[in-house]
Parts: sequence; structure tokens; C-alpha cells
Amino acid sequence: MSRSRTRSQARSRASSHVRLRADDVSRRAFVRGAASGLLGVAAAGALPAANARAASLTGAPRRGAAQRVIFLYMSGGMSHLDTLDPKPGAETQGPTTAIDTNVDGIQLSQHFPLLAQSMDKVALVRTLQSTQGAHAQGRYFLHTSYELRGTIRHPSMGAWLSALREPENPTLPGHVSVGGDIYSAQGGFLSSRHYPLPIGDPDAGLQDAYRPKTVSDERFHRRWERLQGMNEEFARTIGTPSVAAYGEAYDQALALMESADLEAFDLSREDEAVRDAYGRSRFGQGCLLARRLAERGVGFIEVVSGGWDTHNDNFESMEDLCPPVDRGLTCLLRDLEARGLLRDTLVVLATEFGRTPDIVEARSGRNHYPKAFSGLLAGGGIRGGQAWGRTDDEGREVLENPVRLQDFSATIAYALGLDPEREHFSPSGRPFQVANKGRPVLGLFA
Amino acid sequence: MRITRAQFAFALALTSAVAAQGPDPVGAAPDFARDVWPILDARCVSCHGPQKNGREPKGGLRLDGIDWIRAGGDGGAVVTARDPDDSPLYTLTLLDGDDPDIMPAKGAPLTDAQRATLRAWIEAGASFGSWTGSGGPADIEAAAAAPVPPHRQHWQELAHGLEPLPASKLEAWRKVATIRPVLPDLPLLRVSFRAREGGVDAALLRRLGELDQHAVELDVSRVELPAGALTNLGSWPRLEHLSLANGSFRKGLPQATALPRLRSLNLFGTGVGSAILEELERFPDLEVVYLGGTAIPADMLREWAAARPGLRVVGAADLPPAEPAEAPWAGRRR
Repeated sequence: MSRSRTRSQARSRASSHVRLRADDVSRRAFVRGAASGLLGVAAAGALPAANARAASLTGAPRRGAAQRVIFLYMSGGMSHLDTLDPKPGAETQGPTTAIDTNVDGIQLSQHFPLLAQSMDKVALVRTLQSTQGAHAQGRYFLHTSYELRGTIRHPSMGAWLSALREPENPTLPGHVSVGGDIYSAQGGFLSSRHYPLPIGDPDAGLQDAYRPKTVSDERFHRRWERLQGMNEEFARTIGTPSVAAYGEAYDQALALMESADLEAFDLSREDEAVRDAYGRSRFGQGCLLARRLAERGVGFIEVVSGGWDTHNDNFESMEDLCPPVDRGLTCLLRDLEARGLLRDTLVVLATEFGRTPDIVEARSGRNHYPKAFSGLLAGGGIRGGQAWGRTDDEGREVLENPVRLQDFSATIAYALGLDPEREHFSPSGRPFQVANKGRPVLGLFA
Repeated sequence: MRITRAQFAFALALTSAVAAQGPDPVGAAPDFARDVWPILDARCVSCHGPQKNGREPKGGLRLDGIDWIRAGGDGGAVVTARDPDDSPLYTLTLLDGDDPDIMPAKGAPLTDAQRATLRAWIEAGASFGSWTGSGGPADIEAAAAAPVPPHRQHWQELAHGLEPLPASKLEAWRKVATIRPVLPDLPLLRVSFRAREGGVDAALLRRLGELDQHAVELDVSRVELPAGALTNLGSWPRLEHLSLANGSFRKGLPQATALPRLRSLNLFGTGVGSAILEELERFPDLEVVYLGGTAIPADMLREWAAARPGLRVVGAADLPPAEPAEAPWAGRRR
């Protein structure tokens, strides 16, 4: 077909460097190659257990391996003491109290009463550590496992997954970001095809995805063919990768518009009762949207909760910030489980850093604190009902089982069946890993 | 030196010719000992060979033995069978002459013929024939002796004696389904028709038997199954997870369906009635069954589940009641 001929010509003129998301390799060959390379399919005579380190790391997917990820990002630096790692009785705890959960010996802060009843599904990670204490750097490091630099943009885990694995549903984007800005999840040096599709407000759904009623299907396709014809000539003379990518973006948009699964973005198709249960907050509805997308085979969905940068009025803010997350996360876990999806859907809650145990009295606030903080994992082979790692009595230091953010990301990669040790090459031929030498925490898995 | 289109086309033609003939026909793919080793010996092993004068092999990589090549270097594997574009052994030889990462690091770049040989060898499956070269690293032997993790052991046992599905069959099925291996180096597969439009037609399902030896997981949720489709499932010996969720399927599993290893069955949202409960007794290894959104009355389900403590019965989601209107955050868009 004319469109694919143009694309392959454009690619063959590209640079001699063989790249990861090689614009000069046909997509099917790449996908087949990536699948066989990464996942060893049909690689009879493969080089498997002979790679001793990969075998010992079992860089292989686990039983009940995660087929998709829902990544809940608490933007701004979520205070660990006021949420997942309370220290009842300590001075650093402030007025926040702790409550029991349905798992003996594990407590959460008073602000998570719903999650406390589903603690059996969850693995808390209380010993996260980061080297980055500022927002831009911290957010970047959480999402990419690399330090923010001027010279290169690294892909986030969602983009890596989209690039390294064949999509389960080719008509939907493999990587979606709900409620965030374009700086949280990113495609980096990978093709723009792997950038996240942004959804600002889940209630509004996907904008501009429908043909106006005044344009018939036939007319639309005639115009489309005419546009493609015009573009072909241009692509023939200027065959750069970015031109090819532009064409691909149009193709993807058309596939999405014509997809039977476009209704996934339409929350009005859910029962009101279910929408109420998730909570009528942007985050809550975002979690519901994430469930709908996960059901239809979208590989990586990020849902962002903003406003966690509580330098001022930390304790009052918790009353606003926590309930939508408590409700949204808990509904998501229970809903996924009922649908048989939690087994192979990895749910992650993460933040760029925690907040200081010492309370700034004047502002009743907490400042940035990357030395020790909390996140959680559930589903996708993770063993629920555990609290991984231990901080001291005041929430200042990691005492046992530190988990650097790159190790946390490597754990996600490992659950997904991506080899954290494998090197991939950027367009300039430099080697990168999906989690920058992070080591997955195997003890978190069932 | 840039690869010209002619050279690219040549390499492509060579690899296509090799690939078109299927996996490793005798005499068609490069023979490692005859064609590939001379290149490595002449241009690579001086840096990527045994320790010399106290200097370790560059990049922790040795290329003078089959186990060394397979072990890779500090950056991981250097060869991925059938995928030259993901094999640094090949891709690094394609870089520009003035690129600092080019291999060989010293002297002229490889000739086009040499690069094409490497590519063709990898494309055809990267097999070594009878060549072994020098002995392998001690840690490979140690790793081989290390205990196998339980989850891997389970898959290894299940895969025992199973040959991988031929690449051509896999390609054909991939056009209509998402097929992922359960572990990278084992032939067990997860098959999903989750998101295919238009349902799965009967003719296709009759061919589903091609996957019956390899599938450990089958997901036909969100797909309209034609009547009688499931009779073709037969006795899949390795199937452990089956999802029929959200299907229009109501009548019950046909008598012919005997899945000896079935561990999880997902019937969420199918509208099946209580008649299904008796049929579930047919699966001795069943660990979990999802019956939310079905026509089975909740109390009947509870009673049935209580009588079977070894089986996890998952009903409809227990979603918390809606947040009260007077909550402090109500009306604020977070």
C-alpha cells in the first residue's frame, strides 16, 4: 500500500546507525525482533540460561507476570509519615494518627481507612530512596531512573514498555497519562509513537476523536487519501525519521478513531453508582478510566494526583489530598480483582520524595525529604499483605532493605518481563537500560 | 563509512534468503566455524580474549568460546538469536568510522561481506554447530548449579519435552492474537484475543488446536464466541488460566471441555447461571474462579463457596458506598 512504501523509503535513507526504535527497520521486523530478543520467542537456539546473570536474576517474568501497569503518581512529594509509614507516638508524627488494617501488624495513617480494609492486596514499600530533592529532577528520576540532563531526554517506563513489547490492543495507544502534565511521563529519545497520550480531565474523555456529523465516512476517507497523496511526495523528497513519525501519528489517530475500543474513554458508559464509588474527583475518575483502559489491553496508564508539595498546612492538606486517593486506589484494586485482572495488572503508587519528619512549626508544614519515603505495589505477581523495609522510629532513616528509585523501577520492569540488565541503544548509539542498573526487589513477589 | 542503500539491500537480500528457507537448513546459513569464527579470530579476540599481561578482556567480554559469547559482557548479551538489530556484536560494527563506540575498536571497520556474514549468522539463529572454542566462565557453572527459583521450576517442568512452536505458525497467529511467551527461553505461551475486533470466527477457532500444546493461558474475554466454539478446546494439557470474561457465553462449558491443569477460570460478566457450579467440579486443580456479574444469586454463591474452602471464589466487587456529600473535599476537583 502506498503509505507503507513511502515509510520504508524514508527509513532506508535514515542514518546508518542501527537504533533501538530504529526508524530504518520496518515496524513489524522491529516488533518481531524486540519480541524475540527480549522475550525469546521462536528463538530456537536462543542464548537463554547461558547468560548466567540474566538466569540468576531470573530477568524473566514471574508467574502471573504483569501484562500491564497502572501507575499512580503523587506529584509534589507525598509525606510518608502522614500516609503509609506512620510512627504513632513519635514527635515527628504530628497530629496524624495511625489505624489498624486487615493485616496484623501493619498500620496506615488515619487518612486511608478504605485501603486499610484491602491491605491484604498491597505491598507497602517504606524504604524508597532518591538522590534528587527538587521537583523537576525528582520527578524525572522517578520516571526514568536517570538524572535530568541538558543533553538527552530519557524514556519513562511506559515509553520503554510501549517500545519493547508488542501492544495487546493495536488500536489503542500503548501509553496513556491521565491528569498529568507532559513532564511527568515522557517518550525521551524513543519515537513519538511511544509518548503518552495525555488525557487532561477524565470526565471530558478523549477530545476531537469523532468525525463531525457533517462529514460522511466516504468523504472523510476521500480527503484522507488526498492528504496522504500530498504527503507522499513530500516524504519521498525529505525522508527523515521525523517525517515518518509524523505520518505514523496520523495513522495512529485514524486507528484510534475507528477503534471499537474508543468507548473506553467514555466514562458515561459506567453505572453512576460505580462512578460515585471511585469518587467524583479527577483522580478517582482517572482510576476508573485506567481500569477501563486496562481491560482493553492498554499497557501503561499513569494517573496523576497533584498538590502533594505540602510545605504549608501539611496536616490540613492531608484531609483534602488523601481521601480521593484512598477511595480511588481501593476501588481500583477491588474492581480489578473482581474482573480477574489484578493477577496480571501491576498497580503502583509512587512519588518523587517524601517529606521531612521535622515539622516546620511556623507553616505547619514539611519540606522535601528524599532520604526515606514510601510507595506501594499490588497485583502483577506481587505478594500482598506485606510491608517491605523498615525506617526508624521517627521516619528519618532507612534501617532495613533500602529500595532506591531505580531499584523500584527495575522491580516494575521485572514484573512486566522486561530484562532490567539488558542494554538498549539510543539513536546516537549510546547504551541505556530501562531502569539504569537498578536491581529488582525479588522478595516483593509471591 | 555509511551503509549505502545497495549494501543495505544486499544484506537484507542475504538475510531474507536465509530467513525464507526456515530455521537453519544445512548449507544455507553461515557455518560458525567456517565463516564467522575467522572474523572474530582476526578482528575481535585480541581485545575480547583471555586476560593478557594482566589486562582483563575489554568490556568484560570474551568471544573466544561458545559460553563466553553467550554470557556476554558488562553490558549484557551481545547476540540475540534471529535478531541482528538487537545484537551489539553486529550493530556496533555498523557505526561510522569516527564513532568512538565502533567495533572493532582498532584498525579498519569490518568489510561489508564480514558484516553481512555476522548478520546472516545471527538472523539464522546464531547456532555454533559443533564449535565450542575455549571453556566457559566459572560463574556459568556455578549458576547452573544454583537452585532454580520455584516459579521457574514450575514452568520448566511444564515445558519439559516441548518443542517451540514453529516460527511461521507463530507469525500467522500473531496476525490475529497477542501471543507472549511466559518466560523468554521457554516455549510456553500466553494467548490473548482480548482486543480483536469482530469476534473470533469459527474457522479460526477450529485452528486454535494448533496452540493446544503450548498455551498455558488463553484469554478470549471481550470476544463473541460462536456457538459450540469451546468444543474445540478439547483437552489442552498445559492450559492453566482461561478467561471467558464479558462474553455472551451462557450455556455452560461443553462436556468435551476437559482441561486437566486448569487453575483459574474467569467468567466475570458472562451471565452464566447456577448450572455452571456443577460443571466446575470437573476441574480438579482449580484454585480460583471469578463469578462476579453472573446470574448466580449471591447467597447461593456464598453457600457454594463456603463448602469448598480450597477454592477461591471471587464475586462482584465490594466497592465502598459513595462519599458523603458533606465531605470537606466534595466539590473540589483534585
